[in-house]
Amino acid sequence: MEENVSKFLDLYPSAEIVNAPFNVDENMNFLISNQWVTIAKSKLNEHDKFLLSLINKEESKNTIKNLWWKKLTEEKQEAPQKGITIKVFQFRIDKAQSKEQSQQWLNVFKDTIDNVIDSFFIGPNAGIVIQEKNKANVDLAYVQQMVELLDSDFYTNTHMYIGEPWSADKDLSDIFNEEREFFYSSIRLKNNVNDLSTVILDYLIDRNLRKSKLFKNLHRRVNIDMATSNMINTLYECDSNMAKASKLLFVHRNTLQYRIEKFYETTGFDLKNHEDLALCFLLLK
Amino acid sequence: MVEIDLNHIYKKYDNSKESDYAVSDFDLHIKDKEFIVFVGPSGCGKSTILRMIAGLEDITKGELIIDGKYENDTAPKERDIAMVFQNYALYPHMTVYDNMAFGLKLRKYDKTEIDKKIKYAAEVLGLEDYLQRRPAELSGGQRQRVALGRAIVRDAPIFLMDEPLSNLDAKLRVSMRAEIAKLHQRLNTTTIYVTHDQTEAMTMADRIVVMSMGEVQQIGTPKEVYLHPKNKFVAGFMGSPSMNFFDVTYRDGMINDGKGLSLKVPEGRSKVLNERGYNGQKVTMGLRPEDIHAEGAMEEVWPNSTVNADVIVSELLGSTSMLYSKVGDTEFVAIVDSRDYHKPGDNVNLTFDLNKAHFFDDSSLDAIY
Ligand SMILES: Nc1ncnc2c1ncn2[C@@H]1O[C@H](COP(=O)(O)OP(=O)(O)O)[C@@H](O)[C@H]1O
Ligand SMILES: [Mg+2]
Repeated sequence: MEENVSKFLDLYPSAEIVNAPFNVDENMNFLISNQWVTIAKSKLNEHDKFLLSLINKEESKNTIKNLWWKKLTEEKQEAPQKGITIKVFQFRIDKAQSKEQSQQWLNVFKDTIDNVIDSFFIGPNAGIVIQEKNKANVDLAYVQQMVELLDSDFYTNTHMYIGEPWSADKDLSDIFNEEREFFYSSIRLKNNVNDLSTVILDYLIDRNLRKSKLFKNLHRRVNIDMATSNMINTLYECDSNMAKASKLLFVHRNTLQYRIEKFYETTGFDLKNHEDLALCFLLLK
Repeated sequence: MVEIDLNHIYKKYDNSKESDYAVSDFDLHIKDKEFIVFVGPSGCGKSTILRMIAGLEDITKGELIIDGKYENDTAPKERDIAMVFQNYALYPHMTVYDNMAFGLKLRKYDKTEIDKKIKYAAEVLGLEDYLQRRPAELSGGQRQRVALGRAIVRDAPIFLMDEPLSNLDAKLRVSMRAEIAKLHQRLNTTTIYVTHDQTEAMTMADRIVVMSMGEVQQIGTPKEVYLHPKNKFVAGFMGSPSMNFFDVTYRDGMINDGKGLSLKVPEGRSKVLNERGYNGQKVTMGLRPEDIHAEGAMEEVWPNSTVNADVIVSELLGSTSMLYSKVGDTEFVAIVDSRDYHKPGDNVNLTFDLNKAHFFDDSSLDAIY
């Protein structure tokens, strides 16, 4: 473990290492040497809370002068451009060599996206791109490609969340607040670039079900081994197309059929049934 | 000169369950200039290993040694590695020249050196006339070559390629396959190439690493893994169409599936089965489609290896046909001469060349030899 992280854990034994900011309402989250650490506010006295809030760089809202940032975070703020619809891209660049490199990363990235009206950093690695929504939608796969391309040139590892189109009115700051949480949730997913569709299931489960006894028990029931999880994920991704799934899994159709039946016998869930399949897919998230 | 040692590598992702290793005990020595292909079904851990070599993922346990140096903790940038990804993306707003130059500019190469490297790569790839075009003005194949060019200009002694052809249509895939092989012959860069396509592995590799569920199943030349698969997984995965499998009982030099398949095992093979204690045991018999014959002449050579099967489908490929048929409960496929045409429902005598058969232990699934 990185030295600063372990020092922090020594000082605050109730702190925990996490992949992404966790439970931002009740916890404080810190990025220490590229590692997220979380601690419940209830475990801290006022004095510590105050001191720790000073090192919480990602949340340093008030020192960022950008007008779009103000609009995204303050309800009463006027939009720099009125009457337009925008999409907010949030990103975090890990492993950049320097601030200049991060800046350069952003400069190139915004040239690959149409109709960017503003882009800025809100922390050493984290930033925002504002796109005016035009007729053409940005394609998630395209953005993923661009991020992968840039990361290969800069040797960085970047996470990005593409927001939905919103009109820049008074609801924007509340909505953006939720999109921030989606972004944080998305950081632990396998793909680096996400949007609402790719993050929502994980987000809801994390929020509502992770602590549920019922969910935990069901999870244990369907989480048999890697081959089974792989089968469920593949079936889900292939829209239950057996031919496609058996090809991807490299098993004969009959074998897949047999495994589905065996799974039904042991768990009571029938993977050929859409609802059962979706439930098992969720349980394994 | 570059050699790579992967010593007992394990990978567990932070967010995965306690016992879930994406890669377990991966052990491989890669020789200088070698073209190694990792092949296996989706989710078996191929990309994970590649990303650990590139430094994009941490190694949970084990050692990565490049040219005798311990590299587990070296930053990606410090590793002398060029990576080509699945999607072959290019910067849409830059010319071909600038697309290739970009990575070098970031690394502060001077202009003349950049120019020299790009001219060289363009010559190797036949892109000299396209350097001032933008990606949108190129054909799919040309774009792929520019993406390769971006790797070539890095002048790195190691190339990592993650399913670089999987998004291409079949025709382009075949021509790019040849192009990459040619490139390797010319540049002699040590290359690790990841694919889920066994045909790519067979045609391109010096050596193949067959993987399944995070574990190495077999390492060998294409010929070795094809002719001497170590277990049933490798036997079934390598080769197209796949090897046929028959559940049989072996007894006194004969195999029998209890449903009409009864064949004599050649002496050399039955000797091994006897010695290994399989007399009276259930085993799996594997036979490749090309080792099943429909010509009458074969029947005369091996009268005790002939079965009477029902034809299900016959697919005409050209000079050969794929004959799907059934004996007892078992479906199997044979590659036969198209002159021996058979309709569905026909009854046909097929001769199994059991000298070429593979036998697998029913519980370990390992080959018996
Ligand atoms: N970032 C990640 N986080 C968690 N699990 C992952 C991540 N990347 C891959 N995996 C899991 O690790 C296993 C191997 O994946 P991968 O190396 O991508 O396989 P392949 O390239 O052979 O298709 C899979 O079960 C996959 O779901
Ligand atoms: Mg992969």
